[in-house]
Amino acid sequence: MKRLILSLILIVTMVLTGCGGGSKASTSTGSDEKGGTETLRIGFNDSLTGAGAVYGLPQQNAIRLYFKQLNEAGGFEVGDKTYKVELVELDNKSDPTEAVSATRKLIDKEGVNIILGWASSGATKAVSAVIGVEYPDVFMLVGTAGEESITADGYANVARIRPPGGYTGDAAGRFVAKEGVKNLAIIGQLKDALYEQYTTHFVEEFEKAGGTIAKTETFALGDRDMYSQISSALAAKPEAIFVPGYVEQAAFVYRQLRENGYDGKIYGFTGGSEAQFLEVATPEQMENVYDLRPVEGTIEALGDNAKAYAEAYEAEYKEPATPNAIYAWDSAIALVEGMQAAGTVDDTKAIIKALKDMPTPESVALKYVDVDGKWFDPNGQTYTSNIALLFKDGKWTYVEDLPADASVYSKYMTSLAEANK
Amino acid sequence: MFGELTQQILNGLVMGSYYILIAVGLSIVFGVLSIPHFAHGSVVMVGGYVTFIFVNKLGVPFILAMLISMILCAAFGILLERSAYRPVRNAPPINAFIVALGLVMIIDNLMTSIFGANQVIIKSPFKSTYTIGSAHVTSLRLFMIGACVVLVAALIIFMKYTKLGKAVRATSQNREASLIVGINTNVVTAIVFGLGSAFGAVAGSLIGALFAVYPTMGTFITQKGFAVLILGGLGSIPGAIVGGLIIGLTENLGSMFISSEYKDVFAFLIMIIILIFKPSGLFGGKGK
Amino acid sequence: MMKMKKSVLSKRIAVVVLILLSAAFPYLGFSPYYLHLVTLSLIWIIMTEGLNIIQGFTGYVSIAQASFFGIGAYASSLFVLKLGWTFWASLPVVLIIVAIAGLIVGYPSLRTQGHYFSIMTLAFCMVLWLLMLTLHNLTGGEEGISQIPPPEAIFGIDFTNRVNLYYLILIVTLITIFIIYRIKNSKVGRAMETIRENEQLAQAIGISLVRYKTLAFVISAMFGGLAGCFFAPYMRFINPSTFGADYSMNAILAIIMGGSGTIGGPIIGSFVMNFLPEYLRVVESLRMVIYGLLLVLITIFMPQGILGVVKQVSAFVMKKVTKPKDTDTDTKKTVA
Repeated sequence: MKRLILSLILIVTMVLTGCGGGSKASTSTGSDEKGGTETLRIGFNDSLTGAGAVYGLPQQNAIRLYFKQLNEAGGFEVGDKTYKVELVELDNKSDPTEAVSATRKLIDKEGVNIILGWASSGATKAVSAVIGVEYPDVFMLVGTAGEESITADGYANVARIRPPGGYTGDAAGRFVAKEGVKNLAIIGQLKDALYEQYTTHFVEEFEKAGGTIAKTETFALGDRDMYSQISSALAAKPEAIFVPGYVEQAAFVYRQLRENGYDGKIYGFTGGSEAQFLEVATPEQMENVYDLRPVEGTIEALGDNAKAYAEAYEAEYKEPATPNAIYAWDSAIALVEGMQAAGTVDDTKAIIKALKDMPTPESVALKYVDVDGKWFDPNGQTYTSNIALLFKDGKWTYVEDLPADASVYSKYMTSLAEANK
Repeated sequence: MFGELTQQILNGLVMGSYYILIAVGLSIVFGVLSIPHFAHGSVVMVGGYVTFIFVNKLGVPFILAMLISMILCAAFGILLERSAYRPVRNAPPINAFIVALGLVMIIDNLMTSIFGANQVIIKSPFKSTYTIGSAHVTSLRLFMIGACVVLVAALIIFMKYTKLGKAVRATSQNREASLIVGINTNVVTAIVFGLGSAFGAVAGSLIGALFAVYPTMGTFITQKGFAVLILGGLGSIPGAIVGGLIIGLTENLGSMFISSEYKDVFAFLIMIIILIFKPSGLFGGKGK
Repeated sequence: MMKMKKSVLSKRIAVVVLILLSAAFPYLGFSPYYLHLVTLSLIWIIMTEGLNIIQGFTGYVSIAQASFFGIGAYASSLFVLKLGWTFWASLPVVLIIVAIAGLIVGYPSLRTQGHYFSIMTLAFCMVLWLLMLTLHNLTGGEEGISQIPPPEAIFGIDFTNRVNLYYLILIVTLITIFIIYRIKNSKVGRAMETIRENEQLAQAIGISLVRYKTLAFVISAMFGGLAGCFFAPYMRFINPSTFGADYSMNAILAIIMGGSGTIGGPIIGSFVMNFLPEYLRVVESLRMVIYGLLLVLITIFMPQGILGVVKQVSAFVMKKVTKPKDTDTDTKKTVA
């Protein structure tokens, strides 16, 4: 039938024209006209839309800002060449399949061999599974995505700034026990890997120190009605409540807890800014709420580099950075430091090796805990300090550091990686 | 345990009222016009945003803003019917379904472009908390129940005792006969879409104050709404009421007695179970 | 008579050309990125050609196809990773599991019709999706299952090579299309189409509604599961976010856009769904709005889908082409 032929011609034309734009892969460096600087193309793949955009968009802002500053200062030198960075950005829509397609496009069509970004764990995990096996020469440097196995899968070309959830969970569990809490209820986003992993480690340490869990309730990403979970949790008469979850969800839990007559302490793991919480809850409702998390963007617990970053971010984007954006910032720094230490912009294996060989450099914004004197451990993972924050008078105030042993956790991650091989 | 039970039942009544407000809107559109209005969730969302603009940005009192939103959404609903659903009225039913999906994409993404993907919360004037025994409930949540009761009662009175209402019911029973008798079915269609969308605006405004409004909330609302509708029987207002209450209560009591892990599916599981025994829904007679 | 032979011949030629083209594709010099998009399109074709049986042939729109896609993906991965089976040994067992799932979902759903049916399948889709997310020990929950190996080598062909994997999936796709084609032109297919046109009439002339509807639903599910079996090792990672109701909706849309109830429809639709985002990347922010607008306009003005438009256009062209010939002979006659 003619219609079948015509329709098949239609598909073929579409596929071929769709493919038309890319028979030759562009190279990752190219010569710039003006005197001697080369353009280094670096890939960026993140959740710019979808559920993870609350974490992905700030990462994009931070990375763009860093390279903008770098380029305006004349670029950076590696060996005897000077480079300016051009970002090649794609949105993975917080979706695993889309993330893989976007990554393949960045590598196969755009010709980049280094990709930054990575806020959503699901999307990041999907890509790491492919990159580790099919593109061993591409360096995937993860910012915010927290799911543990991303750096415990044993792929040499995947590295991450953000520490694994369990590492902070351990420290948090000890802290809550130290606070004298014996009976705790959990209301958490426990179906999400990061929060589930954090909570498992938290509970382990908490129970080791003599605590008991009165009740565990679950809510999902996107939920805002937690009234029934709260009613059940309060019926178990806990001394305190632990809430791990995305900032938007946790904010509703805090508000609804207070509405239901609970005045006691709430320990959270959310990584949200004051603005994000005060959108939902009143300052009165937020009193007595803690956040037990990696130091992230808590500037008063960090140094001058962090202050400079925070000020520059706010000046550029007219709003303060979210806590997680600093991971992206430091990932950009890591890239430049690694390239300079290795003396190459192309040999990703050398760059990764250099990062695993160096102590934490001066240029970073976060406070790190070196593992055996190295910034990146053998699994490509860094460990920052962990802190406890308390919401007081409308602001997050820094309470204290939560001590945790990074090298112990690093060995634990290595054992996971061995098991996965 | 008794204390928690009271609280959970209260929780169930609040959410049940919300589901009823949504399902009633869907029900009259489907019952009278046989159109599965899969874009209804987006109308609810728009209703929430309209109230948000009037309350948060223009300082209009909440209830007045909600009334304005009801009127604007009624007009919006009528516009959707005229431009998108009417051309496919006589085509196979799946076309209306696809048109609705297309509308959802257009509306949801336009709203995302305008307002951004983040949630917005409507400032409500209801700030107090009451206790009933050991159960706590805020005045806003009580208002949700109250608004539902008042509006549904008004609708039933309208349908039963006014001339227009009778015309609507006549059209739902037999469209051709209504035409012959001289009822202007275009007016009826407009009323039905207008009323349904107005109910949606109320739902959107209340949920926007109690929780939040965000551009992609429509899909899940529509899915839940249809679950309530099918459970109660398509096209039946008593069915929408009973269905909404059942689902609201089941979600909360199920979370209490079984597990909060499965809270999201209780609505759908109940629907499946009831349909196995009564394929046309609790109050449904039409069967299709 | 002559015309019919010609059209059958040209159809056969077109099919052969397409097969040759798809066989040669990896060597046509395109970036491997496009091989990826085409491979995804092929997996989609398996899934949507299957879905077409219950949706296009029988007229029942199921929103559960993503669930069967997911069950196939999870079952296949779990057999290989947890039980140590080979991909090939697990394949028939997975298909049986998917068929059983199809019966469980289909039995209550098919007792309803029209919108009730669709919402029932939606409910099942939501329930199954939530089970995938919550049954942590089995499915890994949101973390998903990773490091899924490619199918084991057969006849010495190693499937860690992406081109080889492409060919494998291509062969499965061609077999799928062939099976669906045979179903359409068989007694079974015609019975299903009769049910779509007029269910009461079908019953009156002795077609067993229960048998054919259930058969259609289960076969659709099985092809969905088959597609999932290949999706998992191709992507190397699966998690529940891919198997939700919106994925089902996309599959339904693909069929409608291409032309529901036809063999070519799902093929066109699958390519459109996977390639259109590439075209529309230019206007990223309003991409979905345009997409939705296209959808509404296509449904209102081109309800038969792209294939329908093509049919109308070709019919128009045929008329124009045949007309002048007739007038020529007419003038000849009058002159003579």
